[in-house]
Amino acid sequence: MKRAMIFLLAWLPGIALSAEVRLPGGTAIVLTTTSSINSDTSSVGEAVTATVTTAVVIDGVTVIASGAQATGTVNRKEDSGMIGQSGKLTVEFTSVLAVDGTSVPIVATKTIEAKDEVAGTVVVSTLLCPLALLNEGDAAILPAGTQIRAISIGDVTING
Amino acid sequence: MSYKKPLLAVGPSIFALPTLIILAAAVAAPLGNGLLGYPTGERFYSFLSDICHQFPTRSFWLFEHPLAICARCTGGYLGITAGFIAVLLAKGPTGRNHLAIGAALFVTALLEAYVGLSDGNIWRAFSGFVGGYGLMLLISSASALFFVKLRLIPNH
Repeated sequence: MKRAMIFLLAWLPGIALSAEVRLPGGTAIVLTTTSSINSDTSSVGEAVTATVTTAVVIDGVTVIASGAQATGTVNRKEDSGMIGQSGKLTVEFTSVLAVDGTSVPIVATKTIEAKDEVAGTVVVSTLLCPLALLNEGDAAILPAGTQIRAISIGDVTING
Repeated sequence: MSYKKPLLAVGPSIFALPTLIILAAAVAAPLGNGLLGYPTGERFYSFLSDICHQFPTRSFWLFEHPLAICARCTGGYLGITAGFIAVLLAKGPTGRNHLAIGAALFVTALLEAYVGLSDGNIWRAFSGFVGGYGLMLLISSASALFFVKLRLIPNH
């Protein structure tokens, strides 16, 4: 009897607190990159991570906690090169973890392009010194702490 | 000189019209995604992505989606719009005094944004508003002085 009571007491709060919540598709989620991503040192397909900046709360129930991890990949990149060619980088986040461990599909894309120096390099090399053609453009860098707006795709049921 | 003269509205209008388009697009983005559903508003976010960092926590939200420009930019463009309305309604003479006041407001807001004193979106928007209003005063006064210099309008 005592054992049954303990089991019931341990089990009841679980029932009271757990609730199925529907996270509707199209919900805005704010992500923040956790590390810097450089177009010259990263490669296409490389995994990138970000964390959720502000918790997503539906009907008073937190479905995606602040600090939850979002995963994505480097989608496209171009190295910086000679003649002032600038680097380009596109990262795409595809999922974020809900409070119950459900992987919520999202779409979030961020493209970064370093300032192009091709025109300036060509002008300087033509007018002043041909060696200026060796000028290497800047890499595209997505700094840590950059906020990215993500949108959830499709309705997802979460145990909040 | 009076701003009722159409010539004096030329300078401010050149800046005010793009401002109104930007503000409309900034509001259309969350309205599109929030009311009509994703990805209706995405083209507006994309359109404005080159002029603002679009950090969601530093933006005002509408229908559970952030505006397509941050709070400081929103304040700035609203300030330009308010300044535009003010210079169109102004009846008194404008010139070097307004130029100086406009420059002072604009530079103060720029310095404040650079140092980052304002904390919270309301204050950032207020700072932007002051800068935008100052910029419009600066533009309208500078264009008025330019037309006086060209003797297209009389000097008072």
